[in-house]
Amino acid sequence: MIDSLRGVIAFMIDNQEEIWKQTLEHLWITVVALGVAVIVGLLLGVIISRYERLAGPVIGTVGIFQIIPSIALLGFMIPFLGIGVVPAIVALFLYGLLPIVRNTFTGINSVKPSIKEAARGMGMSNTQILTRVELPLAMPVIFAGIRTAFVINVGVATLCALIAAGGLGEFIFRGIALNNVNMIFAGAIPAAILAIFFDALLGTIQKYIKQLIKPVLITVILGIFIIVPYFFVQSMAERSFRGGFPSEFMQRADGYEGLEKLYNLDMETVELEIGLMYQAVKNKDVDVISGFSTDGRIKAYNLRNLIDDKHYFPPYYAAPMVRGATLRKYPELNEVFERIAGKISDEQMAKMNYEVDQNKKAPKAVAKAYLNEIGLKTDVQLDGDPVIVVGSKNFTENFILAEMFAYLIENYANLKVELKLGFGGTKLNIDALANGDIDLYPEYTGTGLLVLINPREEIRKSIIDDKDKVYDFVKEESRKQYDFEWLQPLGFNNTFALMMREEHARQLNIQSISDLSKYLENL
Amino acid sequence: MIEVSGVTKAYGDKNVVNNISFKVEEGETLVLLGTSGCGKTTTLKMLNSLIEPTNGVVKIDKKDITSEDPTQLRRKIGYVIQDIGLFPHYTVEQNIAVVPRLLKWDKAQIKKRSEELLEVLGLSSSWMKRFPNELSGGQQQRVGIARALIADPPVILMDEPFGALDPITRKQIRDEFKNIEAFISKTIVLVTHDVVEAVELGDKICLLHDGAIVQMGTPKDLIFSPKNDFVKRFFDNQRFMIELMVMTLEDMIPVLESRNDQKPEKLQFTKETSLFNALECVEESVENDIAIEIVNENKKPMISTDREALLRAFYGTKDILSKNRATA
Ligand SMILES: Nc1ncnc2c1ncn2[C@@H]1O[C@H](COP(=O)(O)OP(=O)(O)OP(=O)(O)O)[C@@H](O)[C@H]1O
Ligand SMILES: [Mg+2]
Repeated sequence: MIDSLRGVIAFMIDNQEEIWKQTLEHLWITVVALGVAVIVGLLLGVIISRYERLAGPVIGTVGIFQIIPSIALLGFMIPFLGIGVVPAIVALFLYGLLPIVRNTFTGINSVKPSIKEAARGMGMSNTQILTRVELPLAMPVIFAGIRTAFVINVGVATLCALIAAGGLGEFIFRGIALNNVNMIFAGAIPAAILAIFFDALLGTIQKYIKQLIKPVLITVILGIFIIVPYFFVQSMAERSFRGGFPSEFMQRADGYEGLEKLYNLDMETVELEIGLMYQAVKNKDVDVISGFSTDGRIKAYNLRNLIDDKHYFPPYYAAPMVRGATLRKYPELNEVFERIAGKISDEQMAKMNYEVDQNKKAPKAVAKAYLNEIGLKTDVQLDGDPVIVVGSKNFTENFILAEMFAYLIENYANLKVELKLGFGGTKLNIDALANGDIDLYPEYTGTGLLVLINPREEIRKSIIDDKDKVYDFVKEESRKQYDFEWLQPLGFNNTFALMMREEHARQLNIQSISDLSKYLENL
Repeated sequence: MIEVSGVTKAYGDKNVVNNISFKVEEGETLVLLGTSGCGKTTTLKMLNSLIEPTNGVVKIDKKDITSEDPTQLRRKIGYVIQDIGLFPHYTVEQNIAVVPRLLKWDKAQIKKRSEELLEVLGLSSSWMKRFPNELSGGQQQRVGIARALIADPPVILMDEPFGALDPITRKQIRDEFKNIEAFISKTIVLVTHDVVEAVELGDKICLLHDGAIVQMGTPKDLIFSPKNDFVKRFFDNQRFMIELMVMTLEDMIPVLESRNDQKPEKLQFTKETSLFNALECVEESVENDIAIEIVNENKKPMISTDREALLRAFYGTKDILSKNRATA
């Protein structure tokens, strides 16, 4: 406990500058968004307290944003607002609106009718009743709303790191990706302090609201009129060639850092969430992203995989990994899987992923269609107790492959199969395979090398740019260390890859990462 | 000063105020009296445009009130609302200053006038900085009244201004209130369901039932010549007291026996004193057998008598009044 605390503190001291920078980014995104939300929220709240018919629809509409998951909202805005600070502020503004609108409305509505009547009876105009009686009396409730909005915003603002808007989320997400607790805390602690500090500040403003209301309002309004247009203009401005990569890829030694060195890449980079990266490149907010070479979205977004001509990324060829005991008991499995060995190309796999991810087909149906297409049968139905258990990891491609494995085994080995899909990550599948909870699942050679075997660096370096060497090494070591057998690879390589918009790549005549490097040099 | 003609207020198809007309002369106090829900508050609020009549016309100073901007109109009419309705975020001082500030008086003027008024209403100026929730219900009610009076409006509307008070305090404030200059000189419409209050404060009483006027007239009219059983029964509860209240010593004089025998003590009353007040003083004095002297406006003795003769005269006068009115 004490040690880990020391670790966090040491990390924070080492990274002071970065923490300050992120804190300031975080702060001002939140403050600007909140400022706009306060103005708009107050106005809306006042309007619906005057025209109660509108209250339901307005609060309902504003409330919708609360139920849209933040990532989805950010993704939804990319086509209109792109990435960066502007959509981040807009998203935070939308999230902050509900508590302010609702509390303004409730606050004004809960002013006793006799008091409003007295005000009217004294001869106050509607505006005077609002500013002298209703708003002051509703102020505690309104402030509670603003404070809620602020705390929500400080939290949601961490997500803005996912669309290249910066903020403390950068540390948090990198930390999560790299499983680095110190880094997570380096983002989370300042965020928590921000939330607490601002809550207290708002509390003080509330106390002295009478004296402060004018200066605060004027500052906020002026600020908004100056800052917001400035950022819209800035976000419209021309920009250079830009890469958008997930935090994990930016941080890992075998991620962007090594790639940049090997290919001598020279470009501006921003951090983006994996799910939003594809939209960002499609929307021309970035020009190159990193992804998995068989991802269905490559097709959906019409992207081009750049050839890794210097073999920077390790090969990730997929193959069935089987328990040794199972294979000895049913040696016919060897022969069964020969039927599909080398039969799936990158494009074909990407297309299947696309069918599931974008066209929402069932993995089972996609697997069956593909097997039929390459002339394999899928119509045998077996009864009785299952004798083989096929597992899978928790993502689309692995689901499809597991379904294929099941068809093949039932149709060509006449063994009844039970599927245990979505078992979790690599670790869980390996354990399950070792314990005999599952008999086989689809695995990748790169993962086998780095996670299952994890050899010394020299060995890794010596084989990593040759896919066959990797396969042979992993096969050999798996047998020795775990009694796991690798059957023949299926053909495709689901590795990291850099991708560009197809027409952009064609226009610049970029086929490989080396081409990209050359293009960047000449800019 | 105030003229209401043919005013109706309907909610849905129910007329909560049904075709009422009345006039209040300048300086007069009209009491709207009736049981709960009979439409008193509704009627009152139509006088300052808080409620718009469905039908009929309200004129103040001969001008139709709809021809004027309602906020301007209301600033010229003092209003004491039924639920007091002080602003909880304002101090007593600020609460009282609401209307003058709307009228853009200068600060010194507001302060001077507030202090005067608080004194008149028996409120210590040390309360100026307090908030309403730090005052008792009765104190709040006084502040509410001060708020209505401060800008010296010619017309004042009061909706159960003493409602929140216990009977003793109520009587006490009423007594003070009756005698303050503001109350005497203003045109006032006052709502109550308390008959004693109505008789004591009203120059005229307008008895309402189910949104309509049952009878309107001076307290004496309503008590001694009720138009129907409803009116009669309305005052039955405290009839004796009320009758004593509406009769003045002057009313007694025609039938009053003069008694000049030597008494150890003597009480002097002006002829306008109500019989009730005179008898009350007599009861309160140590000696029961006491001489009572009635004086005219110049303090000149008109007649000297005693308690017994006064009471006998009361019954005599009552008979005459009831007969006269019945034949009239
Ligand atoms: N906005 C409204 N909508 C419908 N009915 C109403 C409305 N305001 C008042 N009423 C009805 O009109 C009638 C008269 O109400 P009003 O407030 O004038 O009574 P009141 O004589 O002042 O009674 P109280 O002595 O209890 O104050 C009541 O029956 C009441 O229910
Ligand atoms: Mg009422």
